[in-house]
Amino acid sequence: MTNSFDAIVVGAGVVGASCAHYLVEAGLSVAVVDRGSVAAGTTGAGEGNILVSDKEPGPELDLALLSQRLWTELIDVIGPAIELEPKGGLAVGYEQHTFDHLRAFATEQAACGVVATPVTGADLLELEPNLNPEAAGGVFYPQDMQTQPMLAAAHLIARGVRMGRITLHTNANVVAIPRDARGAVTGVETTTQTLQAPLVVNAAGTWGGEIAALAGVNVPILPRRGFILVTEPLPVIVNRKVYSAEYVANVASDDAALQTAAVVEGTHSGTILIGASRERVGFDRTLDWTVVQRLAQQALQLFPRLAQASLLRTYGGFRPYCPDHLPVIGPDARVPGLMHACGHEGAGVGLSAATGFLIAQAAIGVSPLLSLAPFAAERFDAHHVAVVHA
Amino acid sequence: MSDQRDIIIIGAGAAGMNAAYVAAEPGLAVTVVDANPCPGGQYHRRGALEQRYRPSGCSDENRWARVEILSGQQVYAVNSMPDTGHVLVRMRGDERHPHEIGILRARALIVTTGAMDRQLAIPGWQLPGVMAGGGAQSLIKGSGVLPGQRTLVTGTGPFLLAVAASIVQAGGEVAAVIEANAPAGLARHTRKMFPAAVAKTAEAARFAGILARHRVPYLTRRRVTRIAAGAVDTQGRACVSEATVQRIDSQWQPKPGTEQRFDVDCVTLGFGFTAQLDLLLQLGCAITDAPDGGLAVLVDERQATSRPSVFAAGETTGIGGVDLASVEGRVAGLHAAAELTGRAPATALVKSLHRQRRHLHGFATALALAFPVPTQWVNDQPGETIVCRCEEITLGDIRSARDDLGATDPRSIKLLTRAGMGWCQGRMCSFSVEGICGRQANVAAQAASASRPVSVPVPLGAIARDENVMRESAQ
Repeated sequence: MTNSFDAIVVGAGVVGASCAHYLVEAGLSVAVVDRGSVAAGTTGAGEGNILVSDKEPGPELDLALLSQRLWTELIDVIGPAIELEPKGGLAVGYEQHTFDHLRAFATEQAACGVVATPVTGADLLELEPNLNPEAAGGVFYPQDMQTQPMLAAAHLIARGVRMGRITLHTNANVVAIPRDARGAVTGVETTTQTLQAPLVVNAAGTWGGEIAALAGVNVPILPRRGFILVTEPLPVIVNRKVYSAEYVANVASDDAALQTAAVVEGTHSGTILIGASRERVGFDRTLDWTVVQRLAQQALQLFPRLAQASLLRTYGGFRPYCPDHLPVIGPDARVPGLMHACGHEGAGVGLSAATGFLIAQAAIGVSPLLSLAPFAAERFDAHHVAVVHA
Repeated sequence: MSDQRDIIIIGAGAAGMNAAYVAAEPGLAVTVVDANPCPGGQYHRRGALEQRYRPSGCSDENRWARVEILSGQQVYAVNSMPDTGHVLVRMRGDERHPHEIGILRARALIVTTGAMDRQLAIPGWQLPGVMAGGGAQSLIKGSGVLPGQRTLVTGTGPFLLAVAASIVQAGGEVAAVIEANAPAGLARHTRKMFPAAVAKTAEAARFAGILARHRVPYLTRRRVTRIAAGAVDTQGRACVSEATVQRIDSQWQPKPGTEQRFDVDCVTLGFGFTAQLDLLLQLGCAITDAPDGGLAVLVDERQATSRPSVFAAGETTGIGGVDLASVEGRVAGLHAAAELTGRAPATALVKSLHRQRRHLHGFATALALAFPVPTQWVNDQPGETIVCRCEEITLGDIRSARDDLGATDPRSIKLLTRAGMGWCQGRMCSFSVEGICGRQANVAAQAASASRPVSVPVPLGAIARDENVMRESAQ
């Protein structure tokens, strides 16, 4: 078996899988390296959101819209196994003023190409018959989708493996990123072997800062903890991805303290997932029952019928975020051959398709469909932000 | 009543009740919380009308008067408060009262949650009429109900004798006892015999005598390889009608041409036990591997875990049976009480308990080594065998996740196939999934798949309304 490739992707999460997929589509041979198993990090702790609805106008929304288009194409390539559901999202405002705020936000988004339809009264209950009828109104986003992110990552990689274009190295920790006399990367060293490639893509999610540091550069990525509650399997109670208006504000917030806002959705298997909490507490996995209670209360406010549903389990994970809440995507101007594809915070599943696509365009020297300037890793240098190690 | 206790013991089996009795020093508020309708645990399971359970040597009713026993309370979570060091025990009521939830606080916790039957995914194991050996015993002891008319008792270890003996004593028929290992192996591991082993051997001999009187064949180096259903019954269910047994090699691979069929309406599977570590894992206690291939919580001489003021005794520290559980419970109770009162326990008593524990522990280890369950048992099973019964995931689905999708450990297999995500939270299928992972999963990977942040399902409405949590967060 050869140890030489056109590209090495560090990270077998959904972002790494998407990068590997589009690099293969661009004609490259790829090694995917992960310190654990496939989709074992943040991807394995996610809900599988592919959303445009929670993004304010700007570079991230452009990325989300491109990704949304690419995901609908991906389903034709990798098939129904990834449980992609174009179910649409519904943002709900309880009070009249939060609903007004939602509507104004939707008008701004619509100007950028987001399909957003305000709904009230009977129309709202027709969309979600079990929704709390006291809600003032909502905005429906038909472009929002959901997938099973672990399956998505695994199938994207498996397809490349079957084609003989991807080599998967699991349980392989990257310990060094050697560079040549010019300073360009030459591959990676893992705990067990040396892999060679002129291109290394850092798709290590929460550990992206450590991988960047191995290549000698600073990429400030921090963990933002979240818990998700899972109910017993139930008959369909929730049709769309439904969330309260506060969710959008929390996603964009800089606050380190605990924030929760109900995000409720059903899955293929009948369970209902209830998120979303955000707090900056480092890599502490201990379950916090205050968070569980707040999520339960907020979910019940949206869907009172859930009071009878049993909480079966919870899971937690760490969203990899950058100080300005934008991901790091594209070539690193400081190290030839190094590219980043990390720091997607809670939107990694949704943004993964566009990220992989843009990385592949950069790899073969095609001018990118979207400007990568807002996502450049060097943007943090001027601010002298230090890498924080967990 | 206040929610504050000095010592809370979770589990009212032999370990928990011995711990409670010993810990109930004057001035200490001791509470035992247990999910069953009455104390006794798995071994001393009894009908609700029978006399209450008192472990042998625990007859001082003045001591019992200081012990509060909360039966029918299922603990779904425990956590320690970083500021006060108190342990919070979250309980919900039994199946009929799941909305009744409460919190107790303890200065010290003793976890004696015991073990559950270890399940092996054998073709047909999901059929009505197939049950775990421990489950069959519970049925007989708890409600006097026979598991079937004619039963095949299969698995490995002396526990098979106990299961078969209780069936014939309750008036049932046992077609045969199918032992996968060879009992002669035990002598190799117990060359230096302990007093404990003598008592245990005598017990096994008594069971063997009962089986001989009922002319129950005892067949070794064989295992059940297929269980088949017969005609649909009046309730529309296809129940067990036949079991196939084959001779096996040392890696439990069946030898072709050795098939032997038994017409039975019940098959019990007894392949050892899995310690119930959910609550100890929630607390972050250090875990280690046990001689039977499973996991156990790591404890020191005092039965103290790696977390402050958290003790463990009984099967959670490694499968060892009721006598070892009783001794460990006493040691844990003594030291938990000593920690709170500041009075050291009597040296002679501690020494004697430690000696008994050492002997019983040695015997338990010898048993585990003499009756191993190799991980390769799963290799020859057909792909359509159901592994995860809750989510109906087959062996083929799991092999495909391993071979085609890059899942290398039990957690990834769970994420990619849903095996272990259902109602039982992987309690039934985790041992099989670990076997399919191909290599003995390491302790960390096994612990990750045994980790359950919510031990029993709790209604969301009850959690949302729970004022205890609100008070806790206000503090």
